[in-house]
Amino acid sequence: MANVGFVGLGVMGSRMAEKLMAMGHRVTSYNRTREKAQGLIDKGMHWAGTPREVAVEADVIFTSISDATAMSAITEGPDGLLAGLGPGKVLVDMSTVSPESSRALAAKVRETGADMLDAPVSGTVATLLEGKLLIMVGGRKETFERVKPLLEDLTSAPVAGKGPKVSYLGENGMALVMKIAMNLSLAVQMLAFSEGVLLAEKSGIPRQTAVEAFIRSAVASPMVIYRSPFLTKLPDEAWHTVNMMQKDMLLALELGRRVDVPLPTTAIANQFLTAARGMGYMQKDFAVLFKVLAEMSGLKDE
Amino acid sequence: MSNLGFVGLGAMGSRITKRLMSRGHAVTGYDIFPPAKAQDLIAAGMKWTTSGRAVCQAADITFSMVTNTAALQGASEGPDGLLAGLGPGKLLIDMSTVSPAVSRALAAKVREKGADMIDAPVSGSVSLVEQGKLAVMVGGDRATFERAKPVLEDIGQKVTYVGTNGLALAMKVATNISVAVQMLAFAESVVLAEKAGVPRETIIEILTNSAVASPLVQYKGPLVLKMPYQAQFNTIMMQKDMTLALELGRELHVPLPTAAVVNELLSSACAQGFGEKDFAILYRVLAQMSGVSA
Repeated sequence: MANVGFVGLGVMGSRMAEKLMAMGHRVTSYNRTREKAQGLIDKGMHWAGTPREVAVEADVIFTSISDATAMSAITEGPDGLLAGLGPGKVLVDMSTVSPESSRALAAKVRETGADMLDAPVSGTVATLLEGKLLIMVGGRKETFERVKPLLEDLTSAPVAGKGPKVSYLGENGMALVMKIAMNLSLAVQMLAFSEGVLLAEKSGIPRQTAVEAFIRSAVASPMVIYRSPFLTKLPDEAWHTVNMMQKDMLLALELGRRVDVPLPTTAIANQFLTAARGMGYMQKDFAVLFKVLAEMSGLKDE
Repeated sequence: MSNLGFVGLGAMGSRITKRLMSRGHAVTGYDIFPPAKAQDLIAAGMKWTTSGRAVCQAADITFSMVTNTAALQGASEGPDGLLAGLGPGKLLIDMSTVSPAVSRALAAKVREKGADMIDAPVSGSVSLVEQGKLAVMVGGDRATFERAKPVLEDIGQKVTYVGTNGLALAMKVATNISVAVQMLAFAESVVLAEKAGVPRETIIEILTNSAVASPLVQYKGPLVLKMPYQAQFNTIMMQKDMTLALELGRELHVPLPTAAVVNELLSSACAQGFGEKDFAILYRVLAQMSGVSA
């Protein structure tokens, strides 16, 4: 049993904190709004008043927050994580932020005598519950080895799992690089999938028939399969919102400019995420790209 | 055992012919440019004839599989064309990837002859033919589909009825947008991560096991480490499919932003002399644009 901290109880964070508790770990947590944590507090999660208290209480502190600005807010200042970190402690940041800002934070963490890993996850709420989450890790190898058992608890399946789900990518920032590189395909595949379905549908093929053909085809990625029902009905709770997806696209485009890699499909998909925002769909799952293109094609849904 | 015909004995056509013969069917074949491979097929029992018309006269069910819309028109029209040999009771199964509108127009002409036609484009590469794993989509009259189904199932287990004439082609073209786009987005991911410092092998290992790992990404992903000597599906053919998609999109008023972008990069691949290479060469095009040696 480990003494674990968790800061950021969003859609993914709260479920990961719950999973750690279910695996028998002691979890101390902080979230900007306490209401979101109440369900977990009722199940035995310890509540801390500030991020600093979480860092003081726990040996390994996970963070899962939305962007670099929110990251500064929980790390800096007298109540921030950095103020509570010290020798022997490890900060495991699961947020998707730029590799550069993550490296800068790692340097500050090391000044306190603690260490830090970037550990972005690939997967949705559904894959987390199925135990199919992929965690990529960047940082010192020995620090990775130390927290690996905890990460494996996070990715463990309800029934004996299969396949490697924790991957060591290299030095600090490298796991974020991989995550960002991977996520560009999520949005691009969704947009190309939408183009195909609409082309088939406007040709006269019923949408359901077209979708079934897609999920049996060479292009049926897990993304296409999982999100295919969303073409007809979006989920009430977005798995990954348009705003979050656009944040990931911007990180990719920024990285592309920095290392000089042209990203043509990413640039196009990003414009359509902007269109989705313009049409008021910012908090919807990014599968709403289908609806954006459908409306542009003159199809009135629902 | 059926009495079959096959016009167009290219990379796919010759393999499908071989597959049909191995399932016990008699096949009469023809190709406007007799390939060397025809000799192997003749040795394996295929009956060679001298025109598309002669194939249709000899066979009850004739398959055609040619490169593009112009080739299909060339093969079907004229005194020696397919149409000249068709008549009541005969069936034409066109497996070429051509424009749905042209396919529908041909089907109308076939029906004037008292015969019938279905469009039956396939999805899957040459290696899947031998394993009998090709997926076949069918557009046309339902009753005609039922008649053709047993012989199509001898080609591949996945035979799906999509709808009326031309709709299987529409579905094929719609699917192929994602085939090209997923490849290009995959290339963006690999080059981005690689230039940022992650080893290429690690990137491919992660991506081929990720949420974006479609069967296509799983087949093509490893090709960026080593391009195959023989293309499974070359860049020229892929660009033909993108052009069909873009044409259909304009006709139906469906904007196809990612198809348009990938089409430009396919043009670049052709311009650099990669037309005959597998379209996975999109990776090399992007790598070169990024100053990375592929």
